[in-house]
Amino acid sequence: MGSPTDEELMERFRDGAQDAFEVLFTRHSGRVQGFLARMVRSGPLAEDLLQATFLSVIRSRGRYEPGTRFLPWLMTIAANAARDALRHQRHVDAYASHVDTSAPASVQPPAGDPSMRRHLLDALQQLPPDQREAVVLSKVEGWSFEEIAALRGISSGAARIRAHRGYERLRELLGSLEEAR
Amino acid sequence: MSPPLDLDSLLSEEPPRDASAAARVLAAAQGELAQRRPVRGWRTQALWLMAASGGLSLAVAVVLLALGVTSGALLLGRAHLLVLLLGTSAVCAWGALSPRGRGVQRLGVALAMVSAAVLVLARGTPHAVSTVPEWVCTASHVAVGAVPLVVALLALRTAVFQPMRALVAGLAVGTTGAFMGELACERGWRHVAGYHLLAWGLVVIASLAISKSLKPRSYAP
Repeated sequence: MGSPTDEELMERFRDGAQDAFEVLFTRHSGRVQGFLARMVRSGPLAEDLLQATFLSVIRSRGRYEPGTRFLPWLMTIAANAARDALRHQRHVDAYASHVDTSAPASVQPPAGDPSMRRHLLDALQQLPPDQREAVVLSKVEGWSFEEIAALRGISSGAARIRAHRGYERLRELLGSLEEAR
Repeated sequence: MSPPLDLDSLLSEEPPRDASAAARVLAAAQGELAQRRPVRGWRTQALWLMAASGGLSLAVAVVLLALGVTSGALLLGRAHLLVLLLGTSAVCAWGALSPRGRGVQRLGVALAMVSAAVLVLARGTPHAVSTVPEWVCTASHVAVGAVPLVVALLALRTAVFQPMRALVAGLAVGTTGAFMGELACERGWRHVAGYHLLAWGLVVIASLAISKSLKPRSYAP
């Protein structure tokens, strides 16, 4: 007999089986961590959001509808948590910008760590949150534009444009970095 | 010369995992589970909101009948409006709390607009001259919505903030005051349009503003 599906585990968790939650956590916490690292970059903030995501799963298990695919539901929660944190961060940054408005316009050339992955994460932070989310969900998580559109209540054309613009901007940012090397 | 940038494969490279962070999060989750809080489905929450709004409306009707402020004849004469308001409240409560309720939310908004128009159009010329200031209607309608508003806000906190959801919840709550206005107020259509609908609007704004300012307990859709 194969291992239970995510959906079966979530339904068991809804019915009170706490061990089912731990299996789901073990299966998916790494993926959610990866998504959040790309979305917010900061390690402590990503950890807070990982916690907010799984606490949301626990607190809102009564909102999970049988038949819903679990992983997109989980990633929707993570995306909502990241969006809320980024919105809050924007307010803080807007306040800080009264003091210092010298935000970098492009990714700086590598100083000590030559890892391109690190620069990719830096470059992702330069994208507007909507574009960053669309790029990560479509290119990394494999979501369709229809799924992204449903998540944000926009048309699939708008989701496609967000992802396309974000991807092109990312290419520009990393291209300028390549030239500087 | 360095090889061309392969952005897709770079994007798909997994960032390093932080096992200690995951362990801390799992411990926090186990702490949450150990509290053994009851699990409430969204349907139960929607029924609670319907009961708070509709139940309070019916309770107000009983009290007004008992006090002689309204009569059985008036109640029957406006029964169609009262049923419309209760139906609007139920649809809006369901739409506000359903995880996939965009269609029901739109239906709720449409029903609320129809109800508001019908409340104004169905009101004829005033039967009696009232000595009570007009703003008393607005204040009392807002006040009677306080209890269902609290129920709505508690339920809304169990999901991520969505303006449409908060708006529709406010529309559900606002029907309570509108219901009371149909039973206790004999003024004309201008008063209904100006003071009763203002109260309904204020409740919607309160639902939106308070719901947005509260930190959600969950980011679930």
